[in-house]
Amino acid sequence: MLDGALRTVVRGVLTTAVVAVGVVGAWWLIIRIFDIQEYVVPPPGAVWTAFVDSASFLWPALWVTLYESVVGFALSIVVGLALATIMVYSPLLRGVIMPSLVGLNATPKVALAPVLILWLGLGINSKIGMAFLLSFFPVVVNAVRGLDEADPELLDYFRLLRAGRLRTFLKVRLPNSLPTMFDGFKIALPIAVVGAVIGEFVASQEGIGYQIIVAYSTFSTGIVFAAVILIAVASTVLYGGLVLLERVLLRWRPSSGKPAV
Amino acid sequence: MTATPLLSLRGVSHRYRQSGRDVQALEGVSLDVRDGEFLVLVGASGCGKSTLLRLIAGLMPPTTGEIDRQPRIDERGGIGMVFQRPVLMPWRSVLRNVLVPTEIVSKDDAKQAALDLLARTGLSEFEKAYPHQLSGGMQQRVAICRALLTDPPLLLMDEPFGALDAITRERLNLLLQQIWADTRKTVVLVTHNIEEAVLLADRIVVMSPRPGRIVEVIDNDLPRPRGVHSYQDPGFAELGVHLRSLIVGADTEVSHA
Repeated sequence: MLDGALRTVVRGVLTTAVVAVGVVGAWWLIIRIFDIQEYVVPPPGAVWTAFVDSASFLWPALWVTLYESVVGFALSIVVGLALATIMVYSPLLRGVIMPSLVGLNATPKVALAPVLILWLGLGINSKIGMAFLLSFFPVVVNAVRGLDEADPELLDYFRLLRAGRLRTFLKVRLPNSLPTMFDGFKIALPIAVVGAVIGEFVASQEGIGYQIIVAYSTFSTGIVFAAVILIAVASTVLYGGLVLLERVLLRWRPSSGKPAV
Repeated sequence: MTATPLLSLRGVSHRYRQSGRDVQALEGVSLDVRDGEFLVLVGASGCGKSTLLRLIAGLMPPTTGEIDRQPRIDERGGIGMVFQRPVLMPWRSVLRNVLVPTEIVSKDDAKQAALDLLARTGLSEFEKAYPHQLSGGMQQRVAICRALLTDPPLLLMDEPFGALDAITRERLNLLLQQIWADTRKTVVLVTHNIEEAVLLADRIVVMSPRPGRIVEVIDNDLPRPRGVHSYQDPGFAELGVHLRSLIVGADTEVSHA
């Protein structure tokens, strides 16, 4: 079991490395062939130099952004689970909450970023708010779906045992919903990172988004690229951690051949 | 056997609404379930036999009529139930699936009892396996172990072997007969399989559809233990034909010349 998992990870890392080398090679070639100016698209070497030179402020900026993203994502899970639970047990409240959520989701949330900054300030709270706002919907929708999916006959069986609502929830609905919930988490986590960066774009004093804006305004395109790549890689690592957690928690699932990720 | 019945139904009817129309699932059913007997409800689909089982289980109230239960089956864990599908928890190992009821109804030495049941049903090697790693018949055996763990006086089975292949089904029939003989539980089993009814039952309740009602209650005195040899018994064939004519209808064999 673990041996197979390890092999999958190693294979994944190798594939990623090969693809990365290919992309960097193509990037370098295109710049050479079309003679592109460095301030438009810097060559890989220049981005690396920019990264090394700017590491002293890019790393702290990365931690700020990741912190905002993860806290926003965690809030999504807490609030999403709570709302989903309410909706599963009360059809009446579901009729009120669900349409509101759909409406909220249809709102271009990026447009709300300035309002959030007005309400929550220039600091990290408004970015956490943005990360939460963007990642919340996939979490709650999948949580509702997952909690709904419980086998009616298994619920009957727990009724026969007179297990009570709380125990039925903890022993049947919740574990049964985990695979579907994780589908939602996997959509939501990268979106949370996007939300945090958007928040930083609008108004901030720190974070990757802030550093991108500053570098852009001084035509330091190398730093912009370095910062974007850094946050993309970090977001991918976070995602990988989530997938690993899913594998551990859901190891009871029949192996369905190829994993989706 | 002359003692008060474990459970008795008097004039029980059940109606439910489906797509705007009232469906009469059961009408005027009166029946005693005797302590220790193996009772089989048999009939074509739509005769309300599963509805009757759910009423007995207390999963829903009858529309009219009364159901009296002895207090000992009204306790938590007083009724064991096996469904047509195994209805296991796929995220739990076999052993932890069997132990589920004792997480709600406390029981001493639950783990040892579970292991004993798994051993009796030939699942000792699989206690750590997950349900999806087992065949359908093995999963259903796990479900039977789970239903028996609290040692309930009453075991309800809703077409428990209906989804299995014929050979597995016969083997599990014999296993169930053995368990029943050893534990002397009261069993109410729903089936549409006539051989299964004849093989297992002390009494057979024949039901007819639309509305679901009892047509006949037949005592089955075939000698026990029954097994493969029972099929040779003239009484077995006779009872089977009688049930067939009641359920399938006597007129079908002459309908097409």
